[in-house]
Amino acid sequence: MKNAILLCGYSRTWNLIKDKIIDTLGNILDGQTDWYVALWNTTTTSKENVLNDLVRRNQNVISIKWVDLDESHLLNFHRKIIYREVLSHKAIIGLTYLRELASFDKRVYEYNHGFIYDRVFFIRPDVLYFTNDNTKNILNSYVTDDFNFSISGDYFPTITNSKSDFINTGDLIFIAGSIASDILGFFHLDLNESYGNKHYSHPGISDPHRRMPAYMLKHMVGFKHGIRSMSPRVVRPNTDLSNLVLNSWNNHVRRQTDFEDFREWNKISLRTIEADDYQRFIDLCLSLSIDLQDYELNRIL
Amino acid sequence: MDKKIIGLDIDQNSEKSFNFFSTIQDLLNVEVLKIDRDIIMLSNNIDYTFGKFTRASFDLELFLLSDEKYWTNNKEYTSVILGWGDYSTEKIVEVKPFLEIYNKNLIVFSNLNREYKPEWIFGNAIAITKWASSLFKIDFCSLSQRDLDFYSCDMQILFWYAHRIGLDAIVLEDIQYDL
Repeated sequence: MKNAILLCGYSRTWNLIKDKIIDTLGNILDGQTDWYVALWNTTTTSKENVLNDLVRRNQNVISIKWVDLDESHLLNFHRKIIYREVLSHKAIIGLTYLRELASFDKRVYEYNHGFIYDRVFFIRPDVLYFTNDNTKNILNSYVTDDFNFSISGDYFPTITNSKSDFINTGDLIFIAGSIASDILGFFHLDLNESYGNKHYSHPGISDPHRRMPAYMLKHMVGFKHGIRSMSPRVVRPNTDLSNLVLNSWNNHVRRQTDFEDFREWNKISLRTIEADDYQRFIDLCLSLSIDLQDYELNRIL
Repeated sequence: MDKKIIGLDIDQNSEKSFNFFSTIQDLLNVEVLKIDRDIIMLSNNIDYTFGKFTRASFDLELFLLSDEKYWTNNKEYTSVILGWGDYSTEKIVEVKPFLEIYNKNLIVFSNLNREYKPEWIFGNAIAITKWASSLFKIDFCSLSQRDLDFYSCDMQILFWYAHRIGLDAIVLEDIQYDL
């Protein structure tokens, strides 16, 4: 079994949970496992440190990219046109860009070495992945004849937004077959919808969470398994980490919005908190040596 | 000439491709922008037809990601034409109507007949990238018998794959009305 792990996003709480992430994946994956890393430039950690974090745990790192925002023309395009007033623009559009960069390196490596990965895991540095005794068996059962075109993980296109008719989906963990993983990697290109911005008047059209179900349906890379094998849990600076690690699988197979720390932190995106609370979040990040840019808190100062 | 299309030379045959893209400019009244090939280092481990398409798509993808003009409101080009083999331009004029349509899933094949060797494929730049980038994987993947039945010729599997990943694949077959 050949596995690829694509680690993409903001470093954020990576330093707090990196060993747990590596351990979790190491426990459930057999055979060749390669890492492809694409992270935003940050002072939370460095390219060398992330590489060292993985190598000292005997992980095989094929490529690692340290990316500045200015390198993406599409990101800048979105920033000017759509997300001028939205605090989290880079987080939700940018992740697709980083995934394309990591996916590109993965495809080139497959091409150059004449093989393909059986399974590709798209993970984030600020998310813990909980497993249970059955996770390994479920993951192995994914690899069926048609898994090349399948995607699993927290891709559950059934979470509806009560304020609209859109179907929403998570993006914290995707487990994809060889071709489905490439299609997922192209999602960033697909966000370039049309000439001008006339199509963006449609609410939610550029939010990857909402476009994901339609995108997957269009490319016929569907979710085939109804059993959740890995449960993602976003770890924020305000998360009680000691309590989190001790908790069992059953406490984490829930929607992210069910967790109080998630709801509290999400107020930043929603801009529903007072100035004093911003300062509390900023102080939290500084105490943990997390770059304010990772949560775009530096824009508040 | 108010439109541009991206020219992608699969076989990297400079003489033939020069004539090919020059002819296309005249026939379609467009400007062909040839992009640099072999931007990235690739081994020659995979050197068959599907591999050539994949290799070209890597260069196309890097071009799309790095070219600022492609992401602005004033995009000058969105279509790609791939040429290879003897670089025949037969039927190429039939893609002219598609230049006016922005469909990021569009991919046009000239013919799928076994006796006829098509030597170009036209499509939207994003569709071509998605389609060509994983083509080399087909031989590695476990496909069902129904899928394998399409393997009767290369062009049919190329067309099947475009459909399999949900692109709007069109074939410009000769239509004869027998009334």
